[in-house]
Amino acid sequence: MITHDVPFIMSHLKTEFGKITMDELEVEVQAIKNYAFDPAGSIDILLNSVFSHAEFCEIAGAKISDEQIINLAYLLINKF
Amino acid sequence: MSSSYKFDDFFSNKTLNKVHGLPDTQGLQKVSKKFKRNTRAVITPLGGGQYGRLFLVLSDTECNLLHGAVSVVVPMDPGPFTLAGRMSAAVISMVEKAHVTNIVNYYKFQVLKCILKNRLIEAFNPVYFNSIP
Repeated sequence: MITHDVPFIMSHLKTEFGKITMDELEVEVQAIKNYAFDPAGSIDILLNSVFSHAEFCEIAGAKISDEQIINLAYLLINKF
Repeated sequence: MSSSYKFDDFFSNKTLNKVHGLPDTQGLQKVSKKFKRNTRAVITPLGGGQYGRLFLVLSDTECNLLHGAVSVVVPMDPGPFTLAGRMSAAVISMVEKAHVTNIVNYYKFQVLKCILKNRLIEAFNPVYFNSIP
């Protein structure tokens, strides 16, 4: 029986199984760079993608700063 | 709150799709997002209230990073109802009501914790939890 709470279990699963290789990180970086923002859709979709990317980078041990997150979101919007 | 109060009613993701195979980063991220969305939707005055019960799925460090969040005082088991000294009937009634409120808050907190834990365990193959100490 598991007696730990949710944050502990999540953290354990991330540490044990959520490892990301550099190849996977590279694929993720390319994917976000190629992300096509649809202005007809909600801005939340873009922001969620950016935040997910930031989380992915953090798990991979290549954390990006808040400034980089904001810059990335601007870049993706400007690309449209 | 009425007796039909259900946490599920607040959840935006009422069902959690099972992650097949290894709990990889993408799978964990999906589950984590759904948990955050669901717990944030459950109203509570704890921790200032603006983040709902999100604190249940965040580590202390993550909670501290939330903008404007107040540290959460976790409801404790108030234990059996006892009276200290002589009190008037009105005071006894007030203390009793406060005790019942504390019990209700404690149980609500424990029930939601339990629901979330069970959902998390159901989301992955049980074999991946064997390594938890």
